[in-house]
Amino acid sequence: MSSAKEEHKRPSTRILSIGREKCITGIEGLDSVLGGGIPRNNTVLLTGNCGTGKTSLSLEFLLHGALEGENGLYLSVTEPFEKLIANMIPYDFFTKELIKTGKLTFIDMSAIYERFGFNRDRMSIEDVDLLVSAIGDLTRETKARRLVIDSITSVAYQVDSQEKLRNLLIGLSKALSGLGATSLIISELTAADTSYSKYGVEEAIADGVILMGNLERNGDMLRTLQVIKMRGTSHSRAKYVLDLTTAGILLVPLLKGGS
Amino acid sequence: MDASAMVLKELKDVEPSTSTSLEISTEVYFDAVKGLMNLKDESKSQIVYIASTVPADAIINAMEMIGVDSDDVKFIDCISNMMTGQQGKYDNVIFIESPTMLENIMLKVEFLRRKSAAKRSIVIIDSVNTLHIHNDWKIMGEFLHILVNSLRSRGSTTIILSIKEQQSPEVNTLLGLISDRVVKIGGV
Repeated sequence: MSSAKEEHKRPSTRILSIGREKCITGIEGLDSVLGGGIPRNNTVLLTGNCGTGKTSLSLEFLLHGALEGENGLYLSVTEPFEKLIANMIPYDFFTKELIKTGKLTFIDMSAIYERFGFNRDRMSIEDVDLLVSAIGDLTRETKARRLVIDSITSVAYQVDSQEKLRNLLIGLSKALSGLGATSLIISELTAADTSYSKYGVEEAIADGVILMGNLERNGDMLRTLQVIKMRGTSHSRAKYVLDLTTAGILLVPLLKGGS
Repeated sequence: MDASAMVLKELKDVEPSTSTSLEISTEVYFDAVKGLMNLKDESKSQIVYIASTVPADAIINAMEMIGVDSDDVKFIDCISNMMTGQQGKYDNVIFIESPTMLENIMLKVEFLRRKSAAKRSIVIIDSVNTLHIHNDWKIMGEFLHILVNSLRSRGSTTIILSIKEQQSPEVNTLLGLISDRVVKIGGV
């Protein structure tokens, strides 16, 4: 029987990479859309409505990295680690060894809040700085080259001003980039939201924005993905349809039908 | 020579990275399907059968009755789910909610390619006419163009089944554009 490592084929070797060094996501279609991957050290806002595949995509990003020797750190605000793993797609290339060996680390953000005694209802500007510092320390300790925060929207509920949120995001982006980590920051949207993020500042500060959505077409519901911006690479801005499978996320172009 | 033997004779040496249009008459439909199923014995390729004319279960059952084993064929069933959400009993069948979800057909083809150990696939579309019942010809054209060329780039082969009695000028034009070769079987 072949191991998960053996089954894991680096799919992006044929993709022409242009510009800065790329962090190959391992999601073949996405790497192709991004011209080879996410530029190293970028902080990317992964945004969209519920059920669009944000958590699955971010987990797969970490999994592929871990299989290629890059440590990954997943900071969860919304779900306990056990529930997250239990609900994860049973990927062909996942093995619990990745967690046991420290290639993948999952941390519940509530543990960080408790450790620093944050007031969970309202963070002060000092709390925001402490939080940035704590996430930086965790990234350093785990030697993470890939990081996911799920989600910034939940963190932002405890930040009561746009100024503090801006500080948080700029601080995170600088700290993580300085540590050589490529990050996906998940942002949750509702159907009523008209911008790419809940508070408007997230999309402006991030180096990249990947929008995931649900598209209804004649009664059919399709999951979609679109790269809105990505600093440091030439990328497609077209909309793609995706499928969450045990072989990983698959992407195909959205058909337009002459429209 | 019956229709199944003719289909096998015409298609057993089909080249990689090509697209063939197989035009048949209604009366030889199941014979043609039998010939297509038998391609698995003549080729080292994975066979992917996109069923939108009759449900995959019906094809598998019909083949069983005439002694043709279709266990190694992977089916993408586009219609069973639409009919009161019926799901079948076979492990080699993947269901798609509706034949209007053309992107999902492409995604399932890619999924099966990833899962297969075979170096290339033969993807059979049954049929262009029934897909055309549910889809505008412009989106059909886009779908076939992307699917066929994506398979071409991976060295795989597409066989597009069409039924003579249901042919329309738009479908004929489309098949002419995307097919490298046209094979006609059964009084057509």
